[in-house]
Amino acid sequence: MNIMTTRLPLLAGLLLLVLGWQAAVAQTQGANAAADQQVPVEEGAASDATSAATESKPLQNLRAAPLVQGDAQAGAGKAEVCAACHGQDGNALVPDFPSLAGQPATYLYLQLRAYQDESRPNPIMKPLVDMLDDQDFKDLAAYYATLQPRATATEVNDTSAGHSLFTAGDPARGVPACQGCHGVAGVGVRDTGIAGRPVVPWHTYPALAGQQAPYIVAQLKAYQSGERSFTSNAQIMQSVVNGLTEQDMQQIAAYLSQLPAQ
Amino acid sequence: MSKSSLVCLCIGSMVLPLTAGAADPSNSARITDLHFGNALDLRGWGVALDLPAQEGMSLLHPDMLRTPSGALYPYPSAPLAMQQADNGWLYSGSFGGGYVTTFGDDDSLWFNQYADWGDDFIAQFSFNMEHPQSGRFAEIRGTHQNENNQFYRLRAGQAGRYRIEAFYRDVPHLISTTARPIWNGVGTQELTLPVGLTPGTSTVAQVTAASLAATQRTLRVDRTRAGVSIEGELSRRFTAYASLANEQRDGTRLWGGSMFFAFIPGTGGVNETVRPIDFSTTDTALGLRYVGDVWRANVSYAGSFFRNRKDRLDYESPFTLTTVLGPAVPPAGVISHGQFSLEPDNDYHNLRIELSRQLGWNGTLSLTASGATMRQNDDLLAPVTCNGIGGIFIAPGVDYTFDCADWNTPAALSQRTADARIDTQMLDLRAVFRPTSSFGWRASLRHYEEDNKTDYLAYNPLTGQYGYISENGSQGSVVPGETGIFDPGNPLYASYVVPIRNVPFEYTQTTAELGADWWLGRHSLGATYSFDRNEPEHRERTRIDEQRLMLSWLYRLRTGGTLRLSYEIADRTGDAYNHDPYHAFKSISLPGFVMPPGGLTAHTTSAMRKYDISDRRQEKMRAIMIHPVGLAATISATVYGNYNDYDAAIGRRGTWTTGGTLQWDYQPTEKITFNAYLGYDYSHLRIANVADDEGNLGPDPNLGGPVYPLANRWTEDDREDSYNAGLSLRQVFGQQVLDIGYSFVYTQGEIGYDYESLGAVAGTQQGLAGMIGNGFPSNYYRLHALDAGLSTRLGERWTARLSARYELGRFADFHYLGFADQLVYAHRVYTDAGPTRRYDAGMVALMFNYQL
Repeated sequence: MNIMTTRLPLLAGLLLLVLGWQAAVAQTQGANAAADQQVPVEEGAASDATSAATESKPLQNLRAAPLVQGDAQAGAGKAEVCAACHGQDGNALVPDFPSLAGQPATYLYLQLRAYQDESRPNPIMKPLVDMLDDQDFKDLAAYYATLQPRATATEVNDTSAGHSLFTAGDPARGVPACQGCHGVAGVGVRDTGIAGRPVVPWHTYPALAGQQAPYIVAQLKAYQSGERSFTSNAQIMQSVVNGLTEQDMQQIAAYLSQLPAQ
Repeated sequence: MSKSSLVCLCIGSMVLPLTAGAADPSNSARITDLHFGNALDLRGWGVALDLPAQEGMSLLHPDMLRTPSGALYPYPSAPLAMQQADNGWLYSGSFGGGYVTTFGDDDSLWFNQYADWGDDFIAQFSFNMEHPQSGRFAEIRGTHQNENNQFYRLRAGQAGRYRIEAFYRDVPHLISTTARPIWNGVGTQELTLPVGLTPGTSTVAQVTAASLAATQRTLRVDRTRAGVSIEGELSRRFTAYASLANEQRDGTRLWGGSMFFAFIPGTGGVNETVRPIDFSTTDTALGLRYVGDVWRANVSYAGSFFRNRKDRLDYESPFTLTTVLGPAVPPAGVISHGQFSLEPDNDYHNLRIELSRQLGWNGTLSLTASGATMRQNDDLLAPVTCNGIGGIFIAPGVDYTFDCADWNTPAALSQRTADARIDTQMLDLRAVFRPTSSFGWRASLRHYEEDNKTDYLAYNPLTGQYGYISENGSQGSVVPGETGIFDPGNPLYASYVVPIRNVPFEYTQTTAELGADWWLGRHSLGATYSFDRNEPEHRERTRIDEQRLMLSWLYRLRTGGTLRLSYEIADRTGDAYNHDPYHAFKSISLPGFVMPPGGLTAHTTSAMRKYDISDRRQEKMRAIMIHPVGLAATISATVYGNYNDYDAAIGRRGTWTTGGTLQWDYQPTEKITFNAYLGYDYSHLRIANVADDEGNLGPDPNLGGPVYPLANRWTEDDREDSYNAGLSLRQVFGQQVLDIGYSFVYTQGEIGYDYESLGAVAGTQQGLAGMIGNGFPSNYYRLHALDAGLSTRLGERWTARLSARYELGRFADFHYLGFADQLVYAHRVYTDAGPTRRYDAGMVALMFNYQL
């Protein structure tokens, strides 16, 4: 059988068709490639795997986010506006606003940046952070990380549904246990430091113990709706909250708000 | 790994991107099929453009992941983009089509054996649906290469609740592409000779002419397998599962057709025929699983039902039989038709109960009990299909003829159906404890019994004779008296030793094992001692004991890799060896048997030891090192050696296999994957035997005696060296993926022999002493295979993949020497000319995919 005289022309024709087609769509490809180049490796283009709701924004890859170093003293001087909602000591009085005291500095920094680039859309925070620069973010984050969270409860209900979901999840519904990433006490996880093991950036995860319940519910809903989905951490949360009902969210939030923050 | 499976792996790994897709998950219900894919799409992934997933190994961290032993996991592929429907379902899918074409020596067996490449339109599709809120999902996918090579699979269910799977697949297997059968009716149960040949009276020249005129054809067996399985959670504690699968095998295979051997020129006839394959196997399983806090249980039934729609083969033999007495004493009749009884329908049932209980000391006690039965009861075929008279008439009173009418009817059998049955029972008790984090121990006891209830007596009620007309009546038509029968009423047959009943082989086996493991920092140590007692029935030994000690050491390197060493030593002994335990199943055990004047001819030499029950010393060693080099590379090496020394002066004396591998894996980013490997394997088999002195046959079984003189000993050394090497590269360029792979396999086999004297050589061949030498010509198999593929995005939804494979193969096997010229040699006609000696062949495939 002689391919040179029989099927090669057919294949060559098909190949030319492919190349021609590629040329026709080169402009589209070029645009995509340009978008890729604007984003560092740590902030790769949105994955094809993401849902329809996430198609329009680049995915911020926080898996290798470095620790943020800021000047806490300088941050204290910049926190006057923040204190109006988040409390003078970083513990919010209004339930809809989160307490910031004791949160990891890197987590706080990343949230401020997310408000600014609208990967975490928020009409209240957006104009406020637009007035700040990157160093301000770092200083404020460092400042709030030094504050002491307020103990909100002295007794925790270990038989509640919220406790069960937080500690054990619900495998039947595909809900993993929250404590896997947020720690048994809800104050975060420390790196094991074992050589050869992957390093998880625990410093990019928030502490949850003692947090305001309405705020927690609102954020869980934001993950579920896709409103918060533009970071690698948000994508983890999206898969976690998929199986949660609103009642589940209320129960988890109630439990967490009662957990002692220290 | 066999050459063919290696070739199959090489083919598949390069047709689609190397890291395509995750492996199919498995669960307890899926006896229906284990893996989907074909040469075009080995992993059943079916995407033309396989890009790495942005989220990498994990959304939790940026690092590559390694297995617990230190090997890199392949970088995950990006799943297809999910679309969202109004009702909350997410879905994705793709479908594609293309064309594959071949070039060069594309009818070569090695090139096509499990791929069946051709000029074909190809198609692929996949569609996935999932409903995150409820956990429901459905997935269907398939690849069509041609009508004999395709698969389709449906999976659906609800996570944590139930799961259904259904599949259909066609798998090709080419047996020969150079077959030239002389018969008409290939594929049927009736092989008839073509015009120009007359059964039983054709000359060698006529058979040769028919063979040369025969059309060359391909022999193949194609499998069609389909099945369905379901697994569902009845409650939090109970899970039920069931499955049903059927496999049809259709085609033809090379087969025999002996009309007694033809070593003495012009006597018998050897036919390499072609038999039909028309099998149906239905497998089913049903079970209930319980998972409690303390107890766990699994009760299951498995059944397998084999049906053969073509359970006999009738063929015509062209050769004229002559007797060993020469032309003066011809056969009494013309034996020209042969018949095989092919595989019978049979059923298998197995009931199994497994129980386990959690115990103190972090322990588990497990008990498994099972019982099974295998049965077949097909109608039996008549001993022969001949008509007229068979055998040899020498003189009045020396009449070795038989009347075919007495044997060509089922009435000549002692029973009309097989009534064959084997029952088995098994009980396994084991306990595992790990009382501390650094120490654990385990013990087990297993008892297995096989009860063969089959009892068939070869007795012809029409003649009152025992035994079975051998080789369709041809043997008794070539050698006077070797008809295959015992007749206490006929002095001519009253001293013949022939099989008169089946040997119901069965055995009882008991195995006890005790082991312990230690975990000491980076070190893990293991030691296991086992004792195995096998008590077979109707074998050369009634008791075989084997003791085995296994030691292992694992060291976890600071780099995250591992070094593993294991050593095993076993010693097998048993009671006294009886070289002939089969008297009860031969005519010698019947009343009326007349001992021949010189006594019974020895069944075999008493020095013979069958290797499955002979004394044996066995040692095994294995070393495996997996050494991470930085975060993105791994170097791994394996060395092994297996040594068996059999205490046998005659029989298998020893085997030695050794080899090693060296591999380099490099995965610096999700865009580059590079692998290279080298491998070497060596095997050596030693056999010793002794030829009987055909002029001095008698009852003495001793080696060195008159029947088996030391001068008639011979030995064989079978050596095989196998080298393999390969490398592969996968590079992602934006929306393009290039993959290139090369593999090389070279295997060389040498069969050498030595002998004390020409007495070791069959008498008819002693005249060829000058040609005997000390070995057969070398066998070898050499394959270079180059694969390349380019996948690209053509637009938002369109992708394409162009792939190619080129093979350069060389092959030699002395069994096929001379077959390139002709397939008929004296009274032997062969059908298969053997795989292509040299071939250069390849394929090119182009496929377009549209993504939903």
